[in-house]
Amino acid sequence: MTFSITMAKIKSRESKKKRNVSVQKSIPSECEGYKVIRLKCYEDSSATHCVLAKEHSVREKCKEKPEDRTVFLRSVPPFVTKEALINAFGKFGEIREVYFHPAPCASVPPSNSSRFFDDVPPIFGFKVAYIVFTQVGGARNALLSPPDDTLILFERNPSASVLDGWIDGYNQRVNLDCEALKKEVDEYMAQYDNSKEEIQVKEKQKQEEEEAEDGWVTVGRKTGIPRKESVHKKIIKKQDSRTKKTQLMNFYRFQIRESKMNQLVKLREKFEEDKKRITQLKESRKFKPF
Amino acid sequence: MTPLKGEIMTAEESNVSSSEEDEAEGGSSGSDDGFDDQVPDLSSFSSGSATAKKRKNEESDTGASKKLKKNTTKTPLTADELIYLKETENMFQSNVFRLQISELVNETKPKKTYKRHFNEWFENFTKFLDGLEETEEIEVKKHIKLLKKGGVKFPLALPGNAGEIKCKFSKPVKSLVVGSFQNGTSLGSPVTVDVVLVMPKQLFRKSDKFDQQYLVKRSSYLCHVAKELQKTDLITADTSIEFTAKNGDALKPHLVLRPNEKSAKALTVVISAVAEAGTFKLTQFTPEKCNFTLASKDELGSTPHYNATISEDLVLEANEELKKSMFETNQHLKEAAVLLGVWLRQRGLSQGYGAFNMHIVCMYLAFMVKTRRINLSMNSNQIIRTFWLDIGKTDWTADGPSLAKESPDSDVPAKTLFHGHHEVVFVDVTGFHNLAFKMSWVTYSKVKKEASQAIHLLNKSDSSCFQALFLKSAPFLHQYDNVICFREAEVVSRCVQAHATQKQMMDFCGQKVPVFAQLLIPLLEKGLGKRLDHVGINFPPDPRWQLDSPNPTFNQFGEILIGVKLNPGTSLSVIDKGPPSNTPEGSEFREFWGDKCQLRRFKDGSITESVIWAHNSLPVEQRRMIVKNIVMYLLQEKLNIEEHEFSYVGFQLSHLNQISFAPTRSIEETSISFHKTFTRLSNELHGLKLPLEIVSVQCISEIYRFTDPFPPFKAHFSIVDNLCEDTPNGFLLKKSSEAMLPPFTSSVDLVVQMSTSGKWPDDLNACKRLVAAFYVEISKAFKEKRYKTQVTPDFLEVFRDGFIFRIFLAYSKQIGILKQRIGESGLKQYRDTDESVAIEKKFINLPKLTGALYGLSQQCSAFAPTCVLAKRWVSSQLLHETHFPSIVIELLVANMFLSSQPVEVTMHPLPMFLRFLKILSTTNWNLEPVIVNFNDTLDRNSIADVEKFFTSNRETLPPIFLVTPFDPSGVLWTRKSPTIPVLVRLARLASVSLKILETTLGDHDASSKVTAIFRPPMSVFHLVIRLKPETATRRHQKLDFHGTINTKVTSGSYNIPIYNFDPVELYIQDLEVHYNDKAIFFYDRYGGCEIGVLLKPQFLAEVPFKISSFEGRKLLTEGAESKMKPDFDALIEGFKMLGSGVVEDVILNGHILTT
Repeated sequence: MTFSITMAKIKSRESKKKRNVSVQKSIPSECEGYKVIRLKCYEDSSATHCVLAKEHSVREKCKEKPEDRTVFLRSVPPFVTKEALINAFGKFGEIREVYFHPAPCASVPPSNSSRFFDDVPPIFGFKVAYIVFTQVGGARNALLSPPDDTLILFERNPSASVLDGWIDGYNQRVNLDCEALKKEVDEYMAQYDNSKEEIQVKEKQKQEEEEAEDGWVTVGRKTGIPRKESVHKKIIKKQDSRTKKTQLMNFYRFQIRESKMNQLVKLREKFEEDKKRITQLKESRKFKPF
Repeated sequence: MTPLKGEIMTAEESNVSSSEEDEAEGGSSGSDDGFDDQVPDLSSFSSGSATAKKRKNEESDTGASKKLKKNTTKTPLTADELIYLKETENMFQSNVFRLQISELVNETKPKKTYKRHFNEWFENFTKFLDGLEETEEIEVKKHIKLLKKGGVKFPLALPGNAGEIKCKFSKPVKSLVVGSFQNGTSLGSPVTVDVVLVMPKQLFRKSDKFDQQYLVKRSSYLCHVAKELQKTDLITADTSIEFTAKNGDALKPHLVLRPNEKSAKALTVVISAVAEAGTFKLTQFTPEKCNFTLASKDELGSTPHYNATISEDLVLEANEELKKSMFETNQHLKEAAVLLGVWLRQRGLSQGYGAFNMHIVCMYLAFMVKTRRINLSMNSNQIIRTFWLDIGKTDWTADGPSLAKESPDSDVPAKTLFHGHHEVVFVDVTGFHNLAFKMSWVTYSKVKKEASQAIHLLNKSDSSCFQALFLKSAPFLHQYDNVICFREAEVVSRCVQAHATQKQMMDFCGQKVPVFAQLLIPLLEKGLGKRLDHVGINFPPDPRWQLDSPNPTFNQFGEILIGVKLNPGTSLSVIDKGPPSNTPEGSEFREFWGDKCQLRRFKDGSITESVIWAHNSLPVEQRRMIVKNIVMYLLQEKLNIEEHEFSYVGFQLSHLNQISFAPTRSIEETSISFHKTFTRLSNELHGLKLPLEIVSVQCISEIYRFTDPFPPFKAHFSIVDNLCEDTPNGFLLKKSSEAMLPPFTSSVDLVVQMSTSGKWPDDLNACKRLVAAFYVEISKAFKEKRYKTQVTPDFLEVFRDGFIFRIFLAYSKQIGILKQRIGESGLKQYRDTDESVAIEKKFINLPKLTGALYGLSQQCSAFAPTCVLAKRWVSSQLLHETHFPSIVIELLVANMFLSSQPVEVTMHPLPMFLRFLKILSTTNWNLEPVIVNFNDTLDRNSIADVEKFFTSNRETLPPIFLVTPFDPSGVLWTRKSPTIPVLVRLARLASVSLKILETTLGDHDASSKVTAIFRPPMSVFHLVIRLKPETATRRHQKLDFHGTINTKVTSGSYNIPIYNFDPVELYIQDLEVHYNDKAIFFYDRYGGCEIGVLLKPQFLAEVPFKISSFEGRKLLTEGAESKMKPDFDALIEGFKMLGSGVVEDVILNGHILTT
C-alpha cells in the first residue's frame, strides 16, 4: 500500500521533471504505465536497448513471484541472459531469481529437469522477464531509478563468446556419458510406468467408491469399436450406401431422362471449366508462341 | 524501396489486377453467354456447308428463347452444343486441346485490316512498276556504277566473265503476292508478305543460264527496282529498303521494306524477282547437267545445286498455283499449316540455310491432299497428326515424294536422278525441280525425329502436351550435349578454300557456309561413330543489310553452331575399336586416324585396329572430355582448324562439378564408395540382436543420390594439432581466438525403421527416452565390433570406413501421437501438426524420394551433375534452405528429366542446366502444377485428378504445387517455401543468368565470364553482416577458393574427426528464429562469408506507440504524439551479440534505407 502511494508521488514528481527533460531527450522515460529502462551491452557501446518495466501485479497469485518484490520487463532482446539481468539490476538490490517467458505469464516457467533431454522448448525472439528481488526495496529502487540512468548488461570482458558456446556444445555432445544417459532413461521409465499404474489403480478405486456410494457404476466404452474419427466416417458411409441400395434410381421414365440430362450437363460443366482454364492461360499470354 | 519489397508489391498488385480481370471476364461472358460464340465458327468448318446453313437457321429460331434461359445449368443442350461436344469427343485429344488449338491459331492470325490496307498499297506499287521506264541495254559493270550513284551496292560478286553480261530493265510482266500471307498461313509477329516480280522473257538470252549470268541479271534487275523505289513514298518514313538473303541464300538477295499504308506499316514486304516461266527450258536444269562453261565438264561433272537455284524461279508460279488451289478453300488445312509452322519454328528448324520452311510444309500438305492421305473433311488436329505420321514413315533421302504426274512418255526426269545428286528429295509439280535441294539430310532427319517425338507426345495426351508441342521453344544450345561454335568468318573461308573441291565451289557459286557444313558434318559423323546420336547444325538467321553496304552472306555473318547429341550408352568408352588390320576397312581406318591408331588385342581374342583416348580408370566426369578431344583432333588434323579458332561449348561449368579443393576426388567416385560402405553398415545393422527387430535402413542424405556438391569423403582433412584435441571419444574442438576452425565435413543421415510393437508408450517424452536407450544398445553392440560411436539423446553417430553415419530411429507410433487430438464430440481425430509433418517428411517420404532420385541418377548420367549446378546456382543467389529447400530443387530438376519435352534429355549437365534456368524464368507456377512422375507410377486418371484438384483449390495451395507419387497432396515439400517473392526474384535472376550464359558460352574465355552468374549483388540489402573468414568452416567450398586442402585416407582405427560443425549455419538458424518477424536473412550456403539482411516492410514502417510492437524499436516523441521507429543501432548490436566470435562487422546500407 505504502509502496504504491510513494510510487504515485514519485510519478507526479517525475512527470514534472519529464517536461523539462523531454526537450533535450528524445527517449521518453515513461509510456502508458510502463517505465522505459535503458540498457547498454557494455560501458562504451553506443547502442541503447530500451525495455519496458512495470511492477508485477496480476490477479492470479504465484508465490514464486511476490507482487511487491517482482519487476516485470517487456521487449527484452533475445541475447539477454539471466546473468546479464542480474548483472544490470544487481545494483538495486539482491536478486533471488529471474524468469523468462515468451509472453506474460503468472506462473513459473517449467524447467528442464533432465540433463540430456530438452522437454521444454527454448524461447525465441524478444521475450518478457520477471526479476524477483529478495527485498521489497530492490524492486522499488529499480522502478524509481532516474530516467537517464543506463544499466550495463555485460562487463567488458565477456566470459564466453557465442562461438565458444557452440564449441562447448559440440564437445559436450562428443563426450556424452553413455552410462549416465542410460541410468536416467531407466529411472524415468520406471517412474513413468509407476505413474501409469497409479492412475489405473486410482481409477479402479474411484469406481469402487462410486459403486459403494450410489449403488451404480458409470459404464464407459471399454471394448468394441474404437472412438476414432475415421471409424465414425466409415460407419456413416456404410449407412449411406445401405440406404442407396434400397432406393430405385433408374426405374421411372422421368428418372432415366433426368440422368441422361445430368450427364450432358456434366459434360457441359466440364467444358465450361476447360474454357475457364483457357482464359486463364490466355491472360498470362501463354498463346503468344514467339 | 528495395527490389524484393517491390516484388512483393508487384506480386500482390498483379494478383489483384488479375482477379479484377477475372471478374470483368465473367461479367462480359455472362451477358452474351460466352459459350455459343465459339461454337458456330468452329463447327461450320468441320462438316459440309449444307448442314452449317441448316444449323444457322435453327440458331436464329432459338436465339430469342436462349437468352431467357442462359446461366441456368439445366438448359437443354442446343444442337450446336451437342454436335460440338460430340466432335470434340471423337476427333480431338480433349476439349482443352481443341480450345488451345483455336486460341493459338487466333493468336497468329494477322489483323483483318492488314489485308485491306496491303491491297491498297499493292495497287499503288503496281502502278509504280507500270510507270517504270525501260532502259537501254548496258554492260553490267556500267550498270553497277550507275547503281552505286543511286545508293545501291550490287549484292553479288561478279563471276569471271562479267564483261560479257549485258543487262536491261523493262517493267515486269506481272507482280504476284505469294506465300503465307496470301494463303492465310502466316505465323504472325512479324507478318511478312512475299511479292514476286516476274521478269519478261525477252530480257534473257539462252546462254544466260551459264556461269551465273542469270543470277547477276536477276540481281541487277532487282537493284534497279530498289533504286527507283527509294525515290517514292511507298515506304514508311524513317525506314529504308534493305537487302535480305532469304533462307540464308546469298545468291538470291531480296528487298525488304515496310509499306507506307495505314496499318500495313506493321507488315514486312519481301520483294524478289524471278524469270517468267518458259524463259529457259526446264530440261536444261535437271541435276546431272552442267551449266558452267568456264571449267571443263569432265572436271565438274554436274552442277545440281546451281541448276536448282535457277529452276526454282522457273517453277515458282506453277507451285504457287497448286498451293493456292489447295489452301484457298480449306480452312483446316490453313490451320494445320500454321500449327506445323509454329511447331517447326519453336524447334529452330525453319530458319537458316536449307531449312524445313513453310513452303515445304505447305507443299507437302498439298502432296498429301493430292495423294488422298488427307481428305477435305479432316480437321486440323487430324491433319497434323497424319502429317507427323507420314513424315515418320517416309524417307526423303531414299524415296522422296513427288508432286509431278508420272507419265511414261514425258521428258520428266526419274526420281532416282534427283536422289543421285541431292541429299533430300521432294519433287515439285513440274517434275524438274527438287523443292528440298538446299536441305541437308541432317536437317531432314532432325525433322523426322521431332515428328516421331510429336506423335509420342500426342499419344501420351496429358495436358502439358500442347505446351510442349507448340508453345515451348527449344533453343539450339539446350538441345545438344556439346556445341561447336564458329564465329570467325576467316576460319571458315580458309577451311573451305583449302579443303573444298572445285566442283563444290562452283556449284555453290562461292557460298562458304553450306560448303563448310558439307565438309564438317561427314567428318564428325565418321570420327565420332557410335558415340554419336545425331548431329545438328544451326545456321545464323537470315541477314539483312543496307542497300549501300556489301553482302555479308558469302562468307559468314553470325555464328555457325554444330550440335553434337551423344549416345549415352557408348559415348563414354575410352577406346574406339576398329576393324581387323588385314582388311581393306582396316587400312582405311588406319589412314583416317593416322598416328592415333594402334593395333590392339582384346579380351575376346580379336586383334583389331583401335584408337585409345584415355585410361580406363578415369572417372565419368573426365571421360566426358573424350568427345571433345576427338573433335579437337579431327578439326586440327583434317581441316587445320586450331583450338583457338572455334569454341567448344559443354564444359564451361564443369569445374563446379568437381570438388575443387581436392582435385584427386570426384563427386561420383565418392558417392560410389559411399554406397559400398552403406550396404555394409546396413547389413550389420540388420544383424544386430536388439529387443525390437530392425526392418529397414534407408539413407536420406544427398550423397546417396549423388547430388551433394561437396559430399563427405572417405578421406579426411589432416588434423591440425592446435585446433583439435584427440580424446577416446573423438576429436574435440579447442577454443582459441586466432586459429582457423577446421574445414567442414558432414555426416550422412540414416533412417532406421523398427518393427511395429504395441508396447511403445503413449507419451512422447517417454518414447524419446526409450529411443535413446536403443541408441545406447546399438552403440554397445557396435563397440564390441570395435567401431567408433558417439551416442546423443537424439541420434547415434557411427564411424565406418571413413564415413560418419548419423542414425535416427523411427518407431511406428510417433506420427500417430503427434497428430492425435480429441475433437469436440470426444472422437479421436488425426490432424497434421508441424512436428508430425516434419517427422513424416524425414522418416517416410524422404527415404522413398531418395530411392527414386537415386534411380534417376543411375538412369540419366546428367541428373546428378545438373542438380549440383542448380543447387550451387540457387545458393549463390543467397537463397539457402529456408528460402528454397534443396530437395525442391532436386525435384524440379527431376521433373525436367522425366518430362523433358520439347527437348530430349542430354547426358551433359550444361544444356540441362540452361533448361533449368529457362524453366525457372518462364514457368507460371500459379497455373502449372509440377507433377514428378517417377517411373510413370501415376496413371493418366490420377494425373487428371491431381490437375482438377489443383485448379479448383489453387488459392489454398502453396506457390509451387509439387506432386510426387509418394505425396499426392502436393504440398508436403513446398508448404512453407519457396514463397512468391522468392520465386519472382529467382525468375528474374534466372532470365538474366540465362541471357549471360547464352551470349557468352560461345566466347573463348567463357569459363571465366560465366562465373558472373554465381556472384550475387550485395547492394540490395539493408544490412550486410560480415563474418570472420576463419570461422566460416565451409570457406573451401567457395567459388573463388583456389588451392587445395590436404586429405588423407583414414584407416579403421582412426579417430572420429570434427564433423557437422558450421558456426555460420548455427548463427543463421539463431538469427532466423529470433528475428523471424523483423527481417529475412540471405547467405550462400557454400562458403558464403556475408549475410544479407532485408528488413520486413512492416518492421521498417513508423508506427504509433503500442506495447506489443515496442520490440526492436525506439520511442520518439514528436509534440504530443509518441511514435516508434526501428532502432538500427540496437538491431545491429543484437546481431553482433548473437554471433559474437563469428561476426566481424555489420554494415548499414544507408542509401537503401532512406530511399
